[in-house]
Amino acid sequence: VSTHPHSHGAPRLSVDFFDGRSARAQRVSIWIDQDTLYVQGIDAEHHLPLHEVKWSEKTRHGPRLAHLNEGGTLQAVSKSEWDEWLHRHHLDRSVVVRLQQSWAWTLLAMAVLTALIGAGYLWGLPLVTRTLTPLIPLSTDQQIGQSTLSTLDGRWLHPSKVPQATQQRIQAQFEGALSHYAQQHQQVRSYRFQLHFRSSSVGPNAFALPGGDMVVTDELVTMLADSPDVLLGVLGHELGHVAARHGMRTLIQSGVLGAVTSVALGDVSSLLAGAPALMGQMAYSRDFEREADDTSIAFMQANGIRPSTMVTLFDKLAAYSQARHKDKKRGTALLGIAFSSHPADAERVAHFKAADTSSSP
Amino acid sequence: MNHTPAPSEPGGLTATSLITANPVSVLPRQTLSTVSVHPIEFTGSGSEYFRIWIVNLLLLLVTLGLYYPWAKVRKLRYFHGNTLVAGHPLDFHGEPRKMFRGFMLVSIMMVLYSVAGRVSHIGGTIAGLILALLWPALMRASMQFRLANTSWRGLRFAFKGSMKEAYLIWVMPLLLLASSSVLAALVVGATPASARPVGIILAGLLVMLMAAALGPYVWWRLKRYQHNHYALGQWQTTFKASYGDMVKVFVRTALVSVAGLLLATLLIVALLMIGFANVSHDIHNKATWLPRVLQWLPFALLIVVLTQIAQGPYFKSRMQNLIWTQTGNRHVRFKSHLAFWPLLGLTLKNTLLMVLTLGLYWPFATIAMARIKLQAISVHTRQDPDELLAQAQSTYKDAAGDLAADLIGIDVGL
Repeated sequence: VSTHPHSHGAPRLSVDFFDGRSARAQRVSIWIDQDTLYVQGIDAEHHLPLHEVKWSEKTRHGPRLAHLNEGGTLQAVSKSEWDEWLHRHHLDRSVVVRLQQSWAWTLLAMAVLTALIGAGYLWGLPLVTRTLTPLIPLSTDQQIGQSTLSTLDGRWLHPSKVPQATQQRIQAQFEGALSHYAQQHQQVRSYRFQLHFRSSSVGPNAFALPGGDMVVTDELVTMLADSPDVLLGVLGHELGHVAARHGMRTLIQSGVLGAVTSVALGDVSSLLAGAPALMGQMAYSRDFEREADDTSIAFMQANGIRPSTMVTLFDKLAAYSQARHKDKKRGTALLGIAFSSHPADAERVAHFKAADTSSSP
Repeated sequence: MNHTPAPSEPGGLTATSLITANPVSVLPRQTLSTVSVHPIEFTGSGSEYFRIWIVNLLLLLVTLGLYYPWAKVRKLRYFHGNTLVAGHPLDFHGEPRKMFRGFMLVSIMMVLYSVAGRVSHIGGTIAGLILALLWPALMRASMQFRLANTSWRGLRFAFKGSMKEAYLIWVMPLLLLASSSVLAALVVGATPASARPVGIILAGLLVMLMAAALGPYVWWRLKRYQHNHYALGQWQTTFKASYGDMVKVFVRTALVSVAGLLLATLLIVALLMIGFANVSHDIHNKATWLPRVLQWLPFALLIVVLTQIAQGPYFKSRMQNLIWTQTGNRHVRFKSHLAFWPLLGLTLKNTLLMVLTLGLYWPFATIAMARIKLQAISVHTRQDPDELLAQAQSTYKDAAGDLAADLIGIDVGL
């Protein structure tokens, strides 16, 4: 039956052949002629197109194997002869294998890897987030915001002790200011802003939840009782977070970062894979704070308030935290508007001050 | 076993056997045949795997993760190829192109699952429930895929566990859980109102005890299902470890943990006594000793963590030894001698170097861990491997099994 041509000239290689039916090795001789691989032994005779043979990658210690298409396997008797034979037939030209074999290329790959990770983090991630965020309906933001608020209500937030009249006055002031601002910034009309007054142990604070719910603590209301403009500035800042969907963007960012790192590092450990997602949020939220400050400035300007008024807030916050430290009470950090991830106060104060001169309504 | 033992010919042993002639004393003299012992050898190298890993990582990143199946096959072929049994390497036959479909499917499923969980609790619960219902089938598929794509001397391994058995694993544990809950409810109901708290405590204890016993029980049933159904040619493994054996490992691990805690307590007390010898006269003034306690707190935590590191390697070594030494029968059996102290030493070394190199040591650690675990195992056969013949079996080529393996992360357990 065999019609194999003579192998004159074609270099032969002696290997072990396993037919896939028995574990017994058969010593065979193989050679290549015109893109066909010939296998010949006492009980075995095969030929098949060369492209159907899968040669194992060359490694220092690993075996030399080849998978034939119908279940047979070739195994090297002598690794060096096998390598030489493959090299002669130009069957060892995989780029990946050559990369893997060279330390120089591996180090270069490492450098490229680091550069790619850096670039992806700096530019790729924000880009992906900006693209994905509009695809998610606003109702999702609202759902998340509401479930977060109900969780917080059970644990950290308590009913407000601010008189109803004060609450209503602040609400009315905010709504008035919002309608002024909305004349120039139409897009905020699609949000349903809602103020929530709560007492809490976190001190003077305000924070926005995705979708438009904003929480103001009693301490902040008390602290800013004589400067309603500053309170509007703070609310403008929170409005900035909502309108730019910072909450949703953070969620998407951590999701994307988590997915990427778990594919890349998933092997290492889930703990390690989760860490970058956490770290990513700190750096990004600084940018978010600056963005929210810009909205706050625009919000105040739309209502004829000088942005430099906000300096009062920083002074009062500083005084508050100093008083706290003097009292030697617990060293409760001021969260939210004075969160650790916020840009340095001095920088922000300068920004608010500079806004006075830049453009006034 | 569904096949008759092949006639054994003393002396007619294989060209590959390394050690021979270990008569097994339990068997009658006439049926004695030589047992050949094949230690498993692992030849992987950390530096080589490091380069494979880096290049894989780069390609993964450049392709935004789409390269994953190729990277995975390369890794598996490296580990399989460097695992030598009786001088012959294992081989992996999975095809990345086919595995790619499974990979895409699993990625989409994971995204849907996490989105479902984030958007609504009900969606997440339903997705979780579906996953739980599919889990036994997925586990079986993953075992089938992994084994059917692994070969030794040209013969493919097989996983012979049936779908029915895969689901039956869970029947008894679930029944026990349900009945203990009912019993607990009855205990609470039966106690008079005056003794209600006692009843509740009793019921709680009952449930806790059942939960503690169920963990090893489920693990045992799972391992029994897996290790009863590995096959190569005429050989099929049998799992002989009992539930009691399994519980012992769990209990001993718990004891190691408790011993670690005791040791930590002793060390901390000793440290406190040294560090606070001079403030003892002023014990009522918080200001003198409170800052010092806070200063010492990290050390105390470090001591606790260090004494708790031991239980991981302890459990791993004892469990591997139990499971693999109890796997086998007259024709083929395994023996595992994974020692605790070297494994603990390696774990500490790996952890330390991983931290110092910010994770770059990971490939070296993986290789070292694979080496210590694999080289602790030897295969004992009574039959010349040359006589192994492929059994009529439909070769399992469905790459869906691979996605299952990725999804539930179960493996052959080495």
